[in-house]
Amino acid sequence: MRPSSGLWLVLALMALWEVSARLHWVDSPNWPPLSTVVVALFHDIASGELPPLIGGTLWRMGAGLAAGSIAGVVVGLAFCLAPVTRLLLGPAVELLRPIPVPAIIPPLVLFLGLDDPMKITVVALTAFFPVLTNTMQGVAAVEAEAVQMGRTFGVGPLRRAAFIVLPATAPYALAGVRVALGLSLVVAVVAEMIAGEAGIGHYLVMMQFAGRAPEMYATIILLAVLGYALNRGFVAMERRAIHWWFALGRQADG
Amino acid sequence: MAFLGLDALGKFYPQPGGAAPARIMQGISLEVPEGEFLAVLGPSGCGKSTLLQMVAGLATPSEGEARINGRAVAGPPPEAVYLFQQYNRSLLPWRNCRDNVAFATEHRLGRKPARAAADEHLASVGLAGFGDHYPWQLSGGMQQRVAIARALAAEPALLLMDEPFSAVDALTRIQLQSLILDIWARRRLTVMLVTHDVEEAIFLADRIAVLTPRPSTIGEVIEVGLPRPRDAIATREAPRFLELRHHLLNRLLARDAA
Repeated sequence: MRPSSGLWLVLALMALWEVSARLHWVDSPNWPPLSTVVVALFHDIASGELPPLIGGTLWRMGAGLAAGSIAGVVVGLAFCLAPVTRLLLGPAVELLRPIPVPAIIPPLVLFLGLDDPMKITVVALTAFFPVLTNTMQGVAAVEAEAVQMGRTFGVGPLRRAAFIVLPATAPYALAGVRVALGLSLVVAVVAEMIAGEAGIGHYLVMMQFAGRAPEMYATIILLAVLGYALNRGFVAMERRAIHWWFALGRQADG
Repeated sequence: MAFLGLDALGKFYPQPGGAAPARIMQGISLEVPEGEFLAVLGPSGCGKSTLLQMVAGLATPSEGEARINGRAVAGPPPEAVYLFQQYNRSLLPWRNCRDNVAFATEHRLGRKPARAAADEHLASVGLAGFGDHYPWQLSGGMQQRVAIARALAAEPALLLMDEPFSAVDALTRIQLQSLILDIWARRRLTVMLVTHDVEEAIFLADRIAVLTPRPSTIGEVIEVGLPRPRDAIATREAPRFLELRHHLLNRLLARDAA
């Protein structure tokens, strides 16, 4: 990849951060120089304090994302292929969709407690909706000829769903999962900030309470890097999984 | 008793507001003996594809019925395979050619035997060695060959073809027509082909059923009477070929103008 001019803006902002703190343009104990923050970041990683927290957050995020995505694909296929399910469940889904997910954390705490079950549920609910929407769009875009082809060879409805509709829908569903991936990290961290004593989100709040500004910013940088790496990793996986889609030249949006 | 029988087939779509239903076709009756190559010729929009889909069990007739081996068609019959006009939509782009062909039989035979047989079917349409290619790596004509190989893998007694060569270039079309004739003769298939291409109908078929404009019905049935095996060049220059071509074009164009 050629070095883009946008990279220079990032470097300039980092320099501005360093200089503004060093020269006391911003004179506050809550504004440490970037170099101090980076040192704190590497120290917390090397000391073994951050890695298990990262692991915990990624586990909750991953488990929730997987559960929510699978549910989104399954419900999306069911809504399109068995309209009676949409009749029964559609209104409930539409009523739940607009609720900001963090708003349901307090009641969920009452039922599922402060730990993993609650947080994974919250992430799963977050991931569910974009995957559901995209899956349904994908099913609508499946070529009618492909489904009829299955019928003419005597392939039954379940096999058609699994071997024609599902693969044809995959590019759309994966685009939904990519959106859900970003949201999942956000919601996992928010859930940790609100409730419980685990994960990066909780650590971030603790550092703020403790007035340890370098560690606080270090955590934020860590989250930025994590989010970036997760997205890049996902895109690479996507290119492998649906190589045929990219070969057809119909790029997934985004 | 004919192998394939169409008995007063009709199709109409109800209209909103109590208006008379839109009649697409009515009173289509035909008897097709086993092993015959029948072409159904008609202008665009006369419902040819709908007729073929009713025979294939992919569409339901509003009246009458289609019978294969004496049994009324209700759902896709095991004897018949439908070859689509749009090969690029009916081939699965996430499967290579071998697995596309295997798709026709893997639900009955299992994955391994189906894949093993797929290579032979690809070879029989001139695509030996293309099993690992994906359809989108091939030309249109080659893709339609893959679709033909897939249809043959199901070992149908009846092949239903919906303008299968209309999306490929003229030279490829002639090659594919000869390939289909070759396969038809070797496998003793019964074929029902719908097309708007007069020359294609004459070159391929034993009999041609000409459809009228909507509401479509069979205007006439013509015995082609050209000797077989037919030759891609010489047959098209035979006096009988030209005579039929004149007659059919006259008929189709006159009706189009009306």
